[in-house]
Amino acid sequence: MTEEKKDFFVSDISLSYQYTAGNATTRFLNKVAEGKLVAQKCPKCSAVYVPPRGSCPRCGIATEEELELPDTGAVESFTIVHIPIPGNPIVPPYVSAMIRLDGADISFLHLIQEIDLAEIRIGMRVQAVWKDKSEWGTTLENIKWFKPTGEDDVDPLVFKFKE
Amino acid sequence: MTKSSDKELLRASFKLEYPYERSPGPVIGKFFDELSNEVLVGTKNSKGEVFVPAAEFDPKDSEHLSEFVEVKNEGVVQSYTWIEKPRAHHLIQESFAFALICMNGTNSAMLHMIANCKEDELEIGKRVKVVWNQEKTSTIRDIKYFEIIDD
Repeated sequence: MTEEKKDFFVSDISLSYQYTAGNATTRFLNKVAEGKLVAQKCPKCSAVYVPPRGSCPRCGIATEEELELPDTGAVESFTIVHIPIPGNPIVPPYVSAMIRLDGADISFLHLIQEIDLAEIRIGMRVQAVWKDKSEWGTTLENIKWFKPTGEDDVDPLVFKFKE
Repeated sequence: MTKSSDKELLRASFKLEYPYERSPGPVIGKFFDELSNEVLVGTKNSKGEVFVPAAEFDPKDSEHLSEFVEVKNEGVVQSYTWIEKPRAHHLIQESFAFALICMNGTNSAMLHMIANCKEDELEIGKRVKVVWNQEKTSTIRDIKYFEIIDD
C-alpha cells in the first residue's frame, strides 16, 4: 500500500482533425493572403457577408458577387478577457471584439489592442493592424489586431441587420 | 466567378484539446493507488455484493460504500468489441478487444482491453487475467490489458 495520495491527475482528451475550408472561405483566405478583405453580397437582399460562407442564411441562396471591403470598421460587441487560457499566447487582460467592417452586414471576432481598456466601447471606430507583408499567409492572423482610429463613434443602430 | 475545384480548397490540421485535472476522490483514488501495487480492490455493499472498479455508491440503491475488499486478478468476459485495425490514439497497436470484464467474485463489470489473442479465440464467458504494466502511474493504465487464461 502506498501512503502517498494521488489527489489529481491530468486527463488528456484530444481530437485531431482535418479542417477543409470550402469554396467561399478558401476564396476569402486566398484574398486575405494578398491583404484584401473580400466579402460576398446576397443577390436578393443585398446583405454583405464577411467572412463569406457562400450563401445567404436569410434568403437561403448562393452568394457569388464579391466586393472588397476596407480594413476599417466599428466595435459591435466586446469582452475584456482577464482569465488566461492554457495554450493561448495572448497575455490578459485583452479585448476580444466583434468587428463590423464598413459596408458589411455581419461582424467577426478579432482582437483589439493599442487601447486603454477603460476606453473600449460599442460603436468605437477601429482599423486593422497588419503583420509585415513577408509574414502573410492564408489566415486572418495576417491582421495582428485592430486598434482605435480616434474618429467619432458610430451610432450603434447601424449594427441593426437591414430589413 | 471561378469555382475552385476540390483540389484547390484550403485544408489545415487542427488538434482540439481539453486538458484538465481530475480528482478521483477517496474511493476511486484508493482503487487507482492499489493498481500501482498490482492489487485490485472493490467496494462491498451491505448485501455482500462487490463492485470493481470500486464504486463510491451502490448503483442500485445509492448506498454509500466504504468497505474495501481485494479481488483476484481474474475475471470473465461479459461483452466485447473487436478492434481489427487500431487507430493512432489506441494504446495497443495490434488487433485487440474492448471488453466489459466481470472480475471473479464481483457483481459488476469493468471496461478494459483484451489483447494477445485472435478474434475467433474470444467469446463471451471466456476467462481472462490481468497483465500489469511494468511502469506504474496509479491510473487505469497500470493494467496493460487482459489476456485469455488457457484452460
